[in-house]
Amino acid sequence: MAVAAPATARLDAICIGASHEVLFAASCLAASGKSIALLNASTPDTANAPLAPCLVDVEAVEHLGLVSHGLRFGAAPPVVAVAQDRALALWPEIDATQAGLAALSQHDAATYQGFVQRVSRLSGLAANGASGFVPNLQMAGPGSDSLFTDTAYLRGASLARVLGETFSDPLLQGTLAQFALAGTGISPSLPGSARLLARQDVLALLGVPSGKRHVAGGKPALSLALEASLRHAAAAGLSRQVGVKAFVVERDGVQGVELADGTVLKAPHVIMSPDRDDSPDSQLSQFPDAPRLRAGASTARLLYTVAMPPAIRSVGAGLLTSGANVLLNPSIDRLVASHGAFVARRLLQDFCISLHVNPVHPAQSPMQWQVVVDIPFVPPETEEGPWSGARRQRLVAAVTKTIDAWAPGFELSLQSATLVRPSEPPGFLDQRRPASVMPLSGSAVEILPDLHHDGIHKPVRGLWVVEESLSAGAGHAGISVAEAIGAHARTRGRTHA
Amino acid sequence: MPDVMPGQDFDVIVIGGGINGLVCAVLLAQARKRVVLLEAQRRMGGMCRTDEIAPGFKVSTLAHLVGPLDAEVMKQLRLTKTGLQFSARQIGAVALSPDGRHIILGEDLRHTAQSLSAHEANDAKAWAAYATTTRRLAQQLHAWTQKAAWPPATGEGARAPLLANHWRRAGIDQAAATQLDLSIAELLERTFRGHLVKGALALDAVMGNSFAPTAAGSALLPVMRRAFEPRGTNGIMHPAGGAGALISVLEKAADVAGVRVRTGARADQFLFENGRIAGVHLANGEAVYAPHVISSLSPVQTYLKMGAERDLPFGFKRRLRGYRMEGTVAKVNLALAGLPTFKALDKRHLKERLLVCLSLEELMKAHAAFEQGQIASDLALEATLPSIHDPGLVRPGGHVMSINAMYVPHRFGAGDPEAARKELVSAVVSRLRQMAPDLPDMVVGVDVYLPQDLAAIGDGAGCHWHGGDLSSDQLGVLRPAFWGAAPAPVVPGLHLCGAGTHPGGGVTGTNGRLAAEAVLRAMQVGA
Amino acid sequence: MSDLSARSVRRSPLHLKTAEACVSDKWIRACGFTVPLVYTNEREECEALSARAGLADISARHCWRIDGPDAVAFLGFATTHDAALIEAGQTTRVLWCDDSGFVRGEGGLSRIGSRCFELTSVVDDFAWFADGAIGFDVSVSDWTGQRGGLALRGPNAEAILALAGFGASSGTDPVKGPTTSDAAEQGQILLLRAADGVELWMDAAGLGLVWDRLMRVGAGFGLQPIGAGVLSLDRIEAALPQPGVDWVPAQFALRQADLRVPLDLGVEPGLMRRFNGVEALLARRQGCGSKLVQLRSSKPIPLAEVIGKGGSAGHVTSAASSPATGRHLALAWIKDEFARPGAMLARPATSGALDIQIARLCHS
Repeated sequence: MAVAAPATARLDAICIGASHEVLFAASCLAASGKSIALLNASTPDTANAPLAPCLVDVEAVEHLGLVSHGLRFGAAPPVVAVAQDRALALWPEIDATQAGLAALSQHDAATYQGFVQRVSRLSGLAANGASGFVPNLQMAGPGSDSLFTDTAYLRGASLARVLGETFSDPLLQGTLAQFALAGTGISPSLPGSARLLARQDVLALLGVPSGKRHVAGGKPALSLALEASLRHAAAAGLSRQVGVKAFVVERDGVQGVELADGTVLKAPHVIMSPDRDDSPDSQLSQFPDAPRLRAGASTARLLYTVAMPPAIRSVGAGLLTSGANVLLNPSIDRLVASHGAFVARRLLQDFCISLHVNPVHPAQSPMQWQVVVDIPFVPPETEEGPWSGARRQRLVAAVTKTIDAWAPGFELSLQSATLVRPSEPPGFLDQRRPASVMPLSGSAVEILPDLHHDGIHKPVRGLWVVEESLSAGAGHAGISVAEAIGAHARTRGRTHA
Repeated sequence: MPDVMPGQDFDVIVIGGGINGLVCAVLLAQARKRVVLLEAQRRMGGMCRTDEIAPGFKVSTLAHLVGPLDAEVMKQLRLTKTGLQFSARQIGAVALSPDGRHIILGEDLRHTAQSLSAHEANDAKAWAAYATTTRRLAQQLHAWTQKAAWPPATGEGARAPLLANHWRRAGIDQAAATQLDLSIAELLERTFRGHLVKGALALDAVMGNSFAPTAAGSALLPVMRRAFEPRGTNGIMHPAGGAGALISVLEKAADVAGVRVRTGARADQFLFENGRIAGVHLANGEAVYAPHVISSLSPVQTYLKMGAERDLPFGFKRRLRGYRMEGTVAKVNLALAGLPTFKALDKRHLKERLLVCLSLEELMKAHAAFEQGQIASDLALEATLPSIHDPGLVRPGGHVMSINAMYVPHRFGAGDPEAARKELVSAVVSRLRQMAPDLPDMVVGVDVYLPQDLAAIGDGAGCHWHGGDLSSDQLGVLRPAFWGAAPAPVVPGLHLCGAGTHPGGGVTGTNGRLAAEAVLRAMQVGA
Repeated sequence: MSDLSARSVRRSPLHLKTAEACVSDKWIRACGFTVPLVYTNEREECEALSARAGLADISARHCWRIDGPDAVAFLGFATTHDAALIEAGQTTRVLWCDDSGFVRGEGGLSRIGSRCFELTSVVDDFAWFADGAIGFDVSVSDWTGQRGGLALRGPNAEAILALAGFGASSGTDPVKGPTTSDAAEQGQILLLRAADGVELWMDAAGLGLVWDRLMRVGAGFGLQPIGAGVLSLDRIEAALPQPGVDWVPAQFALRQADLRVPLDLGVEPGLMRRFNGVEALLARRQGCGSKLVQLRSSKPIPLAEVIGKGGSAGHVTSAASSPATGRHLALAWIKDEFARPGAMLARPATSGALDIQIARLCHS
């Protein structure tokens, strides 16, 4: 990579980190001719990056012309759940889901559409007339306003209660619960957890139209397109791999950053992601309004490389390799138990496993498949201590054994296994962090994500912290920030307060 | 008893002699209805009682504080004139800290600011804003807590004031409505920096509920408590002589109003005639008849366990089954030989509620243990020392401490209650020792109630401190379950007046008053 | 278990027999089961049904058993029909409503013992009954797929039945109707006489034998298996509405306009009796403003709007044409002001002229 612009040059913005929102903002600014510096934006390692499906804001993609940079939209993948004696598949097409459910429970198949409408109403899309919604008047009574009652109920109730009262099949209940909770660290028995059903990825799975689309190839493909867009805007030359030591704070605002090598870069705007790995987050806590985010480290991720796709009972190879998200024996009870253990910093060996299967570089090694395994409610550190050495190996072995029980021969076809999260304990440098400084994501408790938050935090003048909004899709927050800073506005204006 | 014979002897039967049952019975009797009140125990009071736990040591054994008492009830029942006195009013809270940097959470902003800045400089300013917002929102919610969740079917306010749009019509701005929808954990994380203040305020909010402080909508709880009496004139109080004294005064009021009170009369079945309630069958085989029955028992006990379930609409019955009312609080009362020393705590603050919960994380862990059916080593506590302001409770020099412990699962000690009680007391005492090292040596008497013990004293179905979780799927018209044909009772003639109705739990008397008003209205239209 | 990417097939207990007879190899899904749409061809089956006899597999239904001392009380509260009035061996059409009085389902309620009933329905609402049973001393169990039924219809049906040894008139009746729930579990056959023929309900295991016996005996009477297509035609001719087709059960309804009270479906439950939803029905005391009618025309009737004098009259919910008689029939929801037998309606002008007459009101 080329050397960064000289420290004395006038920059319009400094973008830190490799998150998609930061890249969206950087692309948008660069395309508008702003001068930017891109720090620590390592090329994401495609092999190790999450391949889970990624929903993107269609407007954001159009704005940056990402389609001309190689981005392709794909079909939303199904969610498949397997239990000992049966299986089910949820598709974005309601009738396909209903046809499959009919074999499990006629009642659930028939109730499914009404449930989708309730969720759609919950998401508020319906209120805007986006989905031609007609109120389900099941709860109607004289003088009552069923719309408010049911929505108030859905907003206050737990996933366990709502799903238990709506569906009769425990496998379907468990599947929807685990999918809705993915990545949050929230128990399905928590009052209010039902509002997670209005997450954009759940809406996409239920087939509620939302103006977001899936990216074919997931987040790695999105990264590649964003990089191409940056190259096109000739901003790639400004990219540097260097640690950021501190913010430059002047006149009550952030005016730039100091790099690990001592260089000082100045710019009126600094845009960063809230990730722990690539940002000077310990510095953030000096600002009273710094976002204190969800702890967010509740999901473990393992990457396996295997010689052939796992032969999971009743899930055909075609379905498996089409990007389906497979849940092994999901159940609300098990989720509740795992969550309890998670809060107590213990690990329950009865894993709630969710997996995706993807081909690894189809051109180069057609005989290799990657299995991405996500396990909810794995504590960031256990009572015994942080995740290191032998403890990591034990976790990998236990997960492998569990998958092998569902997919006989899985262990034999194994070529490699990596535990991506939880990560190794912090290195030497991190340990020198002053103890009094709470890390940014050091919120003591997992907090129910706010689905309506736009993902933009502005803790202090000149500093923007952007993350993907759970309701708006990838790209929305990044582009909104770029526009607020002064990039060309899109045809359909967005406002950022 | 020969004077209770079959026939329409009474207009109304009230089941349960707790505060709400008594209030409801008195108000109906004042409206010239013939009322009989049935209490299963030998004495009245329900969760409000004063007992001697050791020779010379009396304490409110269950509920240890009252209020904010319903202003209308105070007025109509002339409680003050009947002799009700309070040994303390406007009781605030203190977040205890093992190192003596306690946080005073009361009406006095100056104290609070001072104690907060000992932890985090910014928190003092944050508190001022937090307290102001809470007070402002409480004022706006006040009307909602004072009226039936369902208005009369006709006339004034015929449209249902549902939680959601009620706020809008009450003029609550968007930002405020958003705040009430948050979880208390998130609100505190956003507002404060110090761990102690967050832990204590979170405990104070979720006290008695079975959910974690991360539950959406739990930010409403502190506001709601305050909303009963937004000006805070009386606030939370301690009746002189303990909670039992309040009941004695109410019993007197019942006597004056002409309520026929029967103790030791356990209602076990409802009697029906043509699908409408006709009376109550007692455990001793007797039957009492009246066209209206008002139950202060839990909704689940009333509707599902006493024979009404056969007349219950299926949809309502389904929703009721999901009603969460599992008990989470254990009560420990300690008789103390002297006053325990809390490091650096001013003696005038000993009258407040002493909260022991050092951080949100600790509270989350206690909840996690609760979900697994266990108790955490670090229990969250709310302790009071009533003998500080009410010396009549104890022999000279002695003190009593009354402690609510959270989260204690309902099934804790199901196998061996005696061992569980011992385990609980030792956990509570060792927790308190962190705050007052000399306390364990002063204990001369112990009195413990596990959630299952509370259930036995109550109606057996659940033993929830608030008569059911105060989460937004169980509030307003959703408490205890949405009934499409409201305001008509689900079972003709059968009404609820306990804490399992709008506006929720607490020793307030509001539920009893709202039930009395609803029944009088029903009698007027002849329903 | 089959691959999820392929659709799963749930077989009726009679699948081996019906598959053998189904030379057309045309199938349809009903209640989660896959059943023959037509065995040979529709004209032949129609003729058999109207002139001789037809045998149909009606196992593709949900079947729940309600057993216990409170069975009569429970079903009396759960449904719009007083279960005490049903005698052992009898079957009655019942509806059940939600708390607001809207119809959730319809089914055949048979009494198979003094305290044991069986409810068969095309609406899957097992959980509703199971949850509603709290407080009643009954057990509600799901027997779907474990019980099966045959429908024998047509002029020769009674004769075939008698000759096969199942007829009530034969005197050698082995199963006039078990009187205890134990008897029902011992594999006996329940004979149910409905308006449109005879139904035999039994444990799934015995179904094949009975099918064979009836087919063997019925061969001389011209008995033919009839598929779902002709059964549906038969239903429209008899003006019997089908849940999910002609009306939407309340729990699955997506629009308020789809909600129906019993009155709309031609059932006038006694409102003095207490059953689920009765309070709401007492308060309402009126229907949805439309009536379900049978329509007749000279040409096939499309599933679309029909108009009367002065505007839209209603919409057609199911239609069929009989290849045997050449008649074109339909069921439709028609506004009260148009719903008189003999009234003439039409198709909207844009769809080409078609004269449609109201043949009769359903259940009038």
